[in-house]
This record gives sequence, structure tokens and C-alpha cells, in this order.
Amino acid sequence: MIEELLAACFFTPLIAALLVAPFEAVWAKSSRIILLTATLAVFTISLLFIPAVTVHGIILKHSILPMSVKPSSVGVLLSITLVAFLSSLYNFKAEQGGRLPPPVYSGFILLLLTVMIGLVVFDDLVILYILVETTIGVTVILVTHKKGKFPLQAAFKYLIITAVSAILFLAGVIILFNLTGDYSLISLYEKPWILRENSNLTLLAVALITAGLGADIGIAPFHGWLPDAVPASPDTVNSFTAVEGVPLFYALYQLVNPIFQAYPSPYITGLLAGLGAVSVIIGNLIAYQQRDYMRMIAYSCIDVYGYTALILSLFNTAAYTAGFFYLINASIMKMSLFQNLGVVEKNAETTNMNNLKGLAGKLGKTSYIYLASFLSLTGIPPFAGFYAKILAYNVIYNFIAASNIILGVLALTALISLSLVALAYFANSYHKIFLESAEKTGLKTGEPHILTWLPSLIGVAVSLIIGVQPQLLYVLLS
Amino acid sequence: MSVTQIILYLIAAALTVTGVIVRENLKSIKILAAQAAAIITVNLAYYIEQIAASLNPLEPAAIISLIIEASVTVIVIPQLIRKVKTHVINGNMKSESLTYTPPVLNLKTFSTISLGFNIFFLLFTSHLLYANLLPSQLQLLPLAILVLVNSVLGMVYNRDAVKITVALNMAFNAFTPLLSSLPLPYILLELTSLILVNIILVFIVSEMAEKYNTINVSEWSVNYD
Repeated sequence: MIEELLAACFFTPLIAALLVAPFEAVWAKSSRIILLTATLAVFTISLLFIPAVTVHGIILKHSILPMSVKPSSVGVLLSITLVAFLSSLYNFKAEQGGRLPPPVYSGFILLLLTVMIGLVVFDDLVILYILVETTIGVTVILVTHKKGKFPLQAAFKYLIITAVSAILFLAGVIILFNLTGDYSLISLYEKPWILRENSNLTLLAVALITAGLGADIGIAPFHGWLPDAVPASPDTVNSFTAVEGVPLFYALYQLVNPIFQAYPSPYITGLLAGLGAVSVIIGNLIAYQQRDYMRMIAYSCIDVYGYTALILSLFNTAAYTAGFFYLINASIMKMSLFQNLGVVEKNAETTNMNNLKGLAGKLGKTSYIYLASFLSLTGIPPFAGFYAKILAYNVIYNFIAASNIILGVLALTALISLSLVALAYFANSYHKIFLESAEKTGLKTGEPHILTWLPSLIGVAVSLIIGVQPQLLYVLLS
Repeated sequence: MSVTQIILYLIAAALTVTGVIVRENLKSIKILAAQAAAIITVNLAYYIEQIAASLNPLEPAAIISLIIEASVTVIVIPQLIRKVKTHVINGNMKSESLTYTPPVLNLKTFSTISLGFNIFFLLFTSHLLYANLLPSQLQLLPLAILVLVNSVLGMVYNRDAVKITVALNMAFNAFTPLLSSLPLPYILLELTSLILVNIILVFIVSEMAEKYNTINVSEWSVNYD
């Protein structure tokens, strides 16, 4: 019975995606209700993994399908389903139609949720590749939902870059499959000597997989699509895809970690840490220069992914917990920010911060939630972001200081300085959008519908609760 | 790996370069089909050699995989792009000046870069094969990477969305022989996702042609200021 939870978690959104169109034909506007119900059901199922997996400390495996849930992946699954549920709640009022008909749009959102869950629960190399490719395809379709020329351009660029990255990922998977002779991820743990004997090919596979998945995630220098795709996408889609980095990073870690355990090469750490450091620098410095708030958030996403890559590159249990703690909190906060900025964009009809002033007067709740979200994202207490940054700094400092204390202090200083840059551009955006005198507002309406700010408020509340009681998330990632 | 397989892969690499530099899109699409056929023949050559040497009888699953791969990469995808090109793009963009999109670099510069890269990579591949540094099942990998990199160069070289789509498919084709060891359901899933990627691509290209009258990707960029 318990193992059927696994199948239910993966197949519920898939079945719902298939049902959307027939239901819409019978009852117009049913697609939003199906989307909301399905995401709530999947969130509830993922909550059930806490007593079934976390409390008992067991790995739940499916007897037929190559699926499993580990105690350390329950938090990852919960974050995906929580963001999906909160985003579908926001979507209920915020979605205003676009290029895709409503059942097609809702169907693709549910398909995206299915593949994101699949990336966490499947243990098969080839299925992971198929899921990564499907994730890209579905996200590209969703980017085109917004009407106009720009989304098509962004979607084309996104698809070309990520399709090439999918080929690199496939090449990496082919190498691993040919070395181990097995499609299962477990075989990477079971046959470490093969990976050690073919060290050059193993390193090539790691490089290809990192480049492939890194481009899908949006790590520099493969991030070219991200600053276009975020402003081009509707706010509802951005809200759903805010959590996309979590399953993709999980897949990357699941693939590279066993290889690192078998062949702990400094090149593997160096590759991921180097890409992470470059992403943090590029993300923060370019985000600071942006006048378009959606592009600012896009570059901020590159910073978040860079931090995560930097932490996970250390490949130990503390790094895993710190990396995903940070990424999960950042994803929930990004969801909140996208929803808040979606409300701003709909009301002010511009994404240029220089054309906005004093919106706090009419969008009071939205402005407070935006403030709390960016404070959590940048690591200000009492939110979870603070604890996430402490964990991250601790792991990185301990690793570097083990060989050179001065280098450890310098690395920590650089990371804290870059975090201050992030705090500066978010504070600047808050000041430009919500504060100052209200002479340029030109808002269409006042405070929006409760469903457009409540989900982001819940996101902030979750961050606050985890910030006060960090062991709640910590235990789900340990 | 046999000499026939090497020659066929080199033909595929040459077709890849030709496909991304030809002026007309329809020729480019025909070359895509020819490139896919050359790469499928790499597998076919392997099976024929196995049968001739009486090493392994050909399994039905392998025959079915080969037929499906050939159908998708040689027929379905080139036909899909050709239909969009002839019906949607040509239907909306009548004049030759609109349908021809000049590439990013001039042909001479691209040819020099491409030739230099190919010579360097072939020397590297020869070293890998001569020194027997790769396991037997991965000996085709450097040649697949050669085709892939030529396709990526083609994507960077072109501004024409149709040619970029063709080059992307050439890159996907590069790894087809290495997938032959996978079970049939996996190959079917992989090919289905490939078709889906192409459907999305042609949807975007045809939308741009229909609504904005351009397939030149450099005209799609947005000024944020």
C-alpha cells in the first residue's frame, strides 16, 4: 500500500493532465479546478512520505517501476509539490489567458509537475534523460503562453540552448551506461571500480552531464536563455517554474555524487565549484544593473543556482543538506517574488522599475510580502534564508579552511560581500517600485484579490517557520 | 569499429558542414535526411558485418529499432520541417529577399574555422583510436562528437531559424548509433521526445513567420530600455 504512494505521486498529475481537456469540453473553466485539486492531492501524498519514509528512516522502493523515495529526498519532493500547490492557488485568479487554450495550458502545467516529480523519484539513467528533455519541452511551451513576439524569441533561444545541452547530457548517460552496462543509478554505487579504471571517460561523462544539466538549470556560462525566458513568461508560469531548479539539481547530484564517491577527483569538485562561483559573480553583478525587475530576478536566479552548485560541489552529507536547504528556501521565495511582481506588472503594465513609484500605497500587502521574500532570499533573520546561508558558509568555510584558513576567510568574505550586493539590488527595487512619492503610479485597481497575495504570504510564513525551527526542513533532507 | 563505420561517420560530418552552409533551406533539409541516412547506415554496416562474420544473429528488436530510427530521422523530421518551410514560411514570406537570411560570418571565415577544427579533431580521434584508449563499445564516441560540434558550429553560424532547426537535428542524429544498445521502449521514448522538440520548434518558427514575417533570429531580440 505504502509503495503505491510513490506511483500515485507521479501518476496523479499525469492522469489529471490527460483529464483536463475532456472535462473542459463538458464544463468550461474546469481546468483551473482540476489543476488546483491535482496539486493539492500530490502535496498531500508527498506529506504522507514523512511518516512512511522520514520517521522510519527507510528507502521506499516501487516493486515494478524503477522508483524510490529516500529520507533525504522527502524535503525535495515536498518543496516541489508545495510550490505547485501555492502556484495553482495563485493561478486560480491571476491566469488571464494567452496563446495556449486553458485546458492545454493547465495540462502542460500538470505535465511539468509530473516530470519534476519524476526527476526526483526515478532511479534510471535513460528515464532521467527523457524526463530532462520533457521538462525542457514543456517549459518552452509554457514560455510561449504569453502573447507577443518576445516570448517566441525567448522560447526559441531557450529550446535551442537546452536541446544542445540535452544532447550533452545524453552523451554523458551513454558513456556511463556503456561503462557500467546498466541503466540503474544504483549500479553507479555498485560498480565503483569500473569508474575508477576508466577515470578519463568518467570525468568526461561528469563534464557532459554537468554542462547538460547546468544549461537546463541556468548555471553560468550556460545561462543565456534565462534572462530572456523569465521576462517573456507569464507570472503564473514563472511561479510554477521557480522550483524547477530543485529537481534538476537533485538529478545532477544523484548522477554525479556516486561517481565522486567512487572516484573523488578534485576536477569534479573544481568543475562544479568553478561554475557555481562564476554564476554567483555574474548573477549578482548583472542583476544590480537591471532596470527591468523581471530580468533582475532572472539574474538573481543565476546567483541562487551558483550558490547551490558551489555548496553541492563538496559532495558530503552536510553539503547536500545545506545546498538543498538553501535552494528550497530560495525557490519558495522566488515563487513569492514572481507572484508579487506579477501583481505589480498586471496593475502597472510595465516591468521597468524607473517607470514605477509609490505602489505600496495601493498594493500594501503585496509590498510587505515582497519585502519579507527578498529579506529571506538574501539571508536576513528570522527567515529560513538566514539559517540557509549560515549552513552554506559553514560548509564552505570548513572545506577551504581545512587546507588554508586565510583562503577560507577570504572566500567567506567574498560570498558575504556578494550577498550584500544582492541585498542592495533587492532593496533598490523595493524602493523604486513600492516607495517614493506616488506621482507616477497610474494603477488600474487597488489591492488585488486575496488569491493573488495569499499564496505568497503562505510561502513567506513557511520561510519564517523554518527560520525559527530549521530542524523541520533539516530533518527532511538528512 | 570497422573502416566502413568510420567512413560513413566522416561522410555524415561532411554532410553536416554542407547542410549548414548551403544557401537554400530546402537543400539544407534534404541534406539533413541524407546525413541521418548516413548515420543510420553506420548501424546497418555493423549488423551486416556481424552477420557476415557469423558472430551474432540479428535480433528482431534491433531490426525494429533500426527501422523506427530510420523512419523518424530520415523521413518524419525532415518532412515535418519541409512542410513548415513550404506551406507556412513560403506562404507568408513571398519575396526572395525575405526568405534568404544571411549568416553571422562570411563563408570563407566559417570554412577556415570549420576546417581547422575538423583537422585538429580528426588527429585527436586518430590518436585515441590508434592508442586504443577507448573501450570497444565507445569507439564511435569521438566521431559522434565530431558531428555534434560541426552541428553546433552550424547553429552559431546561421541566423535562419530553419537552418538552426536543421543543425539541431543533425546534432541529435550524431548519437543515434550509440543508442542502438538501448532496449526498444527507451528508443521509442527518446524518438518521441525528439519529435516533440521538433514540433515545438516548427510551431515557434511558423508563428514568427506568420505573425511577424521573419525567420531571422537576430530580428527577434528585444530592447529592454
